[in-house]
Amino acid sequence: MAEGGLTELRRGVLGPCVLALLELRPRFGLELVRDLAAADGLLTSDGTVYPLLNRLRDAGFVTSEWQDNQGERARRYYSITEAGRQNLAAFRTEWDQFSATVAGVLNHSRLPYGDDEKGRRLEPQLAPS
Amino acid sequence: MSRSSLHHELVRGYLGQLDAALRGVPAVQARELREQITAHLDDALPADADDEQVAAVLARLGSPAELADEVAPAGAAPQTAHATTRAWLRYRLARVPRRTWSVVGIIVALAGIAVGYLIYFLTPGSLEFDGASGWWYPQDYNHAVSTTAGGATQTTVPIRSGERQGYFVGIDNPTDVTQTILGPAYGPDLPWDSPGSAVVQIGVSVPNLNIDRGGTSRSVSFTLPGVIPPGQIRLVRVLWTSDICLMNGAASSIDTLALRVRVGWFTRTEIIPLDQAWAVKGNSHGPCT
Repeated sequence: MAEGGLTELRRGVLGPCVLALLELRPRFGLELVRDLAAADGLLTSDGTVYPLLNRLRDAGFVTSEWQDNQGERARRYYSITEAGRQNLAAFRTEWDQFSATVAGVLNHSRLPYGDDEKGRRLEPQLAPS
Repeated sequence: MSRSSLHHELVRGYLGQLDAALRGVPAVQARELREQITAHLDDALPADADDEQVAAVLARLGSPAELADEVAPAGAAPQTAHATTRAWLRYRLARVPRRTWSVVGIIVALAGIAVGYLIYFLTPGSLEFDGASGWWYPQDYNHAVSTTAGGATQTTVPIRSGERQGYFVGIDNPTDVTQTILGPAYGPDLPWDSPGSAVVQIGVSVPNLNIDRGGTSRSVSFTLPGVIPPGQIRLVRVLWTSDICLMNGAASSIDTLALRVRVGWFTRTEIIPLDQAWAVKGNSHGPCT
């Protein structure tokens, strides 16, 4: 698969992944970037996380708050909102179905029709009544 | 915040490129992203980061142009002024540290307490006339004449020009708050406290006076300021040196007592209606000018 396609796929799932991390606890920017980077291959560049966070906040899925912890510099911490939790729950459900479908297609186990190993055209499979 | 990491030449160069790339982006979003990237660099770079470390962190961030594209995707509708203002407000409010919110909360709470205090001490009722009263000097009360007309009573004594005259009245504090008489209230729109002079001397009887148990007004001492605790009564003495001009047997009278009274932290003017009018009658000595 072309790198451009993977990049688009990453962009599509990065938002829910950010919400999933924030679901566990609030995080500040670099912390979030490092946790995402730890999931190999998920993050193409660290900087893209910030515009994404701002879009999630504008959508009402994330809030941010400055915290001035003693002995540390003030940091902006991001938290998931109730709307964000609902959105994440909905995405999880859809993702399970979607990823199973994609996996089925990629592994030829769910092809409704196509070509067999000898190149002969197969008819669409009907679901059992 | 470490100065050295953000002042590294490579970092300054990167932030300069980011500023340039964000020129077409709405100011609020541009400012916010710059602040986020700056904070990221400040967190990610140690104070003594060398060129290699800085270059690695900047490379992972992505190019400034890519970041700018993320903020304002091509074809995105321009923001309205209203939306920009809201975003700016949201940005500013989110930028306020929790400690500041705590301080604001404390200030608001203190303001609430102050307003409550103000309401508590300004709304209590005024002092009231209690019923006991009389002329202060024997040469006055021995010559007092009481008259009633139209339901109103007036006690009149001859004016003794250039001499001290005065009266006393019982004053009740019917409220739940201590009230302190500070003195007479003077003003162009305020009534006089004496029929014989614009200037008076006010005295409030010291504690332990109980006029209901037969206390004699002339045996007590007076002070100013004078405190009247809630539910208690004090005598208020009003003295003056008569200096007004009365000709052809004319009379001058007053029927209220205007006082400056402190209630809590606040001072207010209370005008207390008396049970009768207090009058002096001419002729006054000396020529009237």
